[in-house]
Amino acid sequence: MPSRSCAPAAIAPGRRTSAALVLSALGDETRRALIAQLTARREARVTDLAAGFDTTRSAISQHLRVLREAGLVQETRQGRERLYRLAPAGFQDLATWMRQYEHFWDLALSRLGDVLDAEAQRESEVSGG
Amino acid sequence: MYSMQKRSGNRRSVVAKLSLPPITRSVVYEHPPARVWRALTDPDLLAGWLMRPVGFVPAIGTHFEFRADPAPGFDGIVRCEVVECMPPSADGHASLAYHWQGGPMKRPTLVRWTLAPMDTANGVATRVDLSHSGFDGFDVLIARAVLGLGWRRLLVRQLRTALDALASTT
Repeated sequence: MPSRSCAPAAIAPGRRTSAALVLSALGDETRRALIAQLTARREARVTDLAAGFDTTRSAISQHLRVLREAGLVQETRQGRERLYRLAPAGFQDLATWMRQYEHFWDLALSRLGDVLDAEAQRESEVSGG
Repeated sequence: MYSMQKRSGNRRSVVAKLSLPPITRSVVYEHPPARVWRALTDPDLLAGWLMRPVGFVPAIGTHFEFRADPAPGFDGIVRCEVVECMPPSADGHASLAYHWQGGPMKRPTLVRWTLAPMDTANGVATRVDLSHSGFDGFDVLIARAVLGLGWRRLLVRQLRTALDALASTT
């Protein structure tokens, strides 16, 4: 059936589903708090960021890595320091993901029309003998 | 859409909340509501245009799944629960809604169908309204200080542009 190839996340199979990474990255409370912190400061070191949390520095580094892999945070090196800042473009992936979902429904509604036509045809054949 | 919320009693008094707008579609099919309802609720017909349902019956409280081929970031399963079910009444109005949770969704979204009969030159037709909402499960707590200066505005503007672009396609 045509539906098999039209699952929402399967529309752009060539691309590593970055929206999934973004949503997964944002699914964690600490990481959302880090995003909030990075919004309040232009740039920050891990040490600065870790100061606001009851967790280890290395745990914060891990969270930052997830955010970086999702494209939400970028890292620059300044001497021996690593500086983190938000990467707004990463948020665009959410919009892209939504567009794919819209496309999914448009295709489904179009196929619904075909299914209805076929049903009408079948019904008229049955009633017509 | 992009909206600001005030949280009273909170140290972070102003937070920006990013919630994505619902997807809405309205289509008129030249078929009677009863037939459209069947296409929305008969498993074999559903499989022909949406996905193969497993365990679906049109009754409130029914948990079921839609199954498709897995893809990266999507295990091929959409978990659903019927939360509204009004078969076509005598005047042809009907509605059906289910929670919809699949792929990267952390929380269920809501898919809602409403059917309304229409008279057209070719006889009876059905206006089908689809709404897929609840994407605010993806809310991002952006900042206490989004009202700040410079680059922060840039961030807000970029987000807003992305969301406006989204909204304008609906």
